[in-house]
Amino acid sequence: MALFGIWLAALLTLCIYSFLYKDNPLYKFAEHVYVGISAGYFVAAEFHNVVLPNLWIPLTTNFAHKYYLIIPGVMGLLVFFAFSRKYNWLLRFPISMVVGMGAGLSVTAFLSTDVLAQTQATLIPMNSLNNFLLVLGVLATLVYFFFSAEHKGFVGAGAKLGVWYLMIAFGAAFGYTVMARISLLIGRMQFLLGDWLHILK
Amino acid sequence: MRNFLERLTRIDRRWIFLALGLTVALALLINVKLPMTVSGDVRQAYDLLEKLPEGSPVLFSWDYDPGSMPELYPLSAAMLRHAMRRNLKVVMMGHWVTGIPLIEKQVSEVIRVEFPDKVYGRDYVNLGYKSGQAVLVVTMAKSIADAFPQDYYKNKTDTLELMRSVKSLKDMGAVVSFSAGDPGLIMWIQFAWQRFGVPVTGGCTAVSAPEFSAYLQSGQLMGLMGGMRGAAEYEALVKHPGAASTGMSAQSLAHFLIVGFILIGNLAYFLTRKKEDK
Repeated sequence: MALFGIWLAALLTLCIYSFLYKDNPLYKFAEHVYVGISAGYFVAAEFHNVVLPNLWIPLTTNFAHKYYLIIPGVMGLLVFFAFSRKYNWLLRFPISMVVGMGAGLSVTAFLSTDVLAQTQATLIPMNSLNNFLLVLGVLATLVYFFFSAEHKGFVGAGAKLGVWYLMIAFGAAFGYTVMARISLLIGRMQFLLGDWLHILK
Repeated sequence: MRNFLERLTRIDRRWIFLALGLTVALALLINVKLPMTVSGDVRQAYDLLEKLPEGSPVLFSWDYDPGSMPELYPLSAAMLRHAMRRNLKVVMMGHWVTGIPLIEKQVSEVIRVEFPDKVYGRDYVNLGYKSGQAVLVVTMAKSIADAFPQDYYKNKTDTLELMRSVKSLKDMGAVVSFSAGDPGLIMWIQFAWQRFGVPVTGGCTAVSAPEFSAYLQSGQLMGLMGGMRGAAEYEALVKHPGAASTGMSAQSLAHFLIVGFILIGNLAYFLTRKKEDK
């Protein structure tokens, strides 16, 4: 069975890589298999890992102490009204709850983690070259994104420096992206040459 | 000469794909070894686990799927190996449903083979997958058993020996996330560290590594392993070279090839443009 799995994975990998030559039915077949299996796997996993242990089992085994779980259960069921033209307005209740809770959680988390903590981390003494470059970079980049004054003179020079900092950041991000894609190629090569063909040392 | 340069600027990208594929395959087949140094970010993550007292509980979160295996699977193996050697108690879970079978693969390849004396429920626990993302983390800070009433094997979580002493996320010595996106490392920083003060470290795909540099610098993240390189460095620290160490040489050669293509392409472009301008 394991051997069958390896052969299947190898052939599907080759089907996907055939796209590098040109778009073709083999690639499309592998792509559709991937999307279909992922969706099916996700639905089954959600049911067995979330719905059963967190809702169904507590309600059926200990209803008196867990009766409040009916509320999220009903909210979850309301989602299926998306398929009804007449009653799809009921979908607004679970969606509003999810959006409200998500926004409430993420706004405070973002403010404390990304705004306050990052600002605090930039308020540093410029007693080393690293610190100086860091503070200068933040200020110059902020100047670039300040559009209420024309980018001329001192503001223009700051904005130009900001562009240089941005270019360096984009370059680093691009370099890392190339590394990530090559890593994926290496991973597939290790699988094809090692697990499948057994010609790797 | 000019014809040749012009042809270079119009080269079919499929030849570049072929050259890249052949370079990687040859580097792996010949098993080229290139030197590598360990960066401070990776050492910081290593030190975080190294300095925890023996028996401390740590949470390992598998927040990736098979698509990111080449980068994150060797890293999770190396860190799991390190935690087991140090006799840390490992609680495993994941925010990505397709990552959960990878926990099982890792347990069977690392723990059961190299640490056969480790007992499930006492030394390590697999809580499995649960959706909910930030809500799940906040619930875990209140009670892990509420968030995960059952473990991966359908045991009641609060009946497991390890989970009797580890009631909430706040009991953890550290959180380690192997992250391929969202939900992942950023969410652990926002909630586990920023809200509950639990030290967070982990690895991410190379694509998202620059994003985390800011958190490293601000001290919100205790070390970071970016991509296959981070994994290879951690393998070097635990003195157990694996797939990432082997892959890094192929990685370096592929980068040489790409830099070569970029230089040749630019040279050909500028030389042909100069002649056109004349």
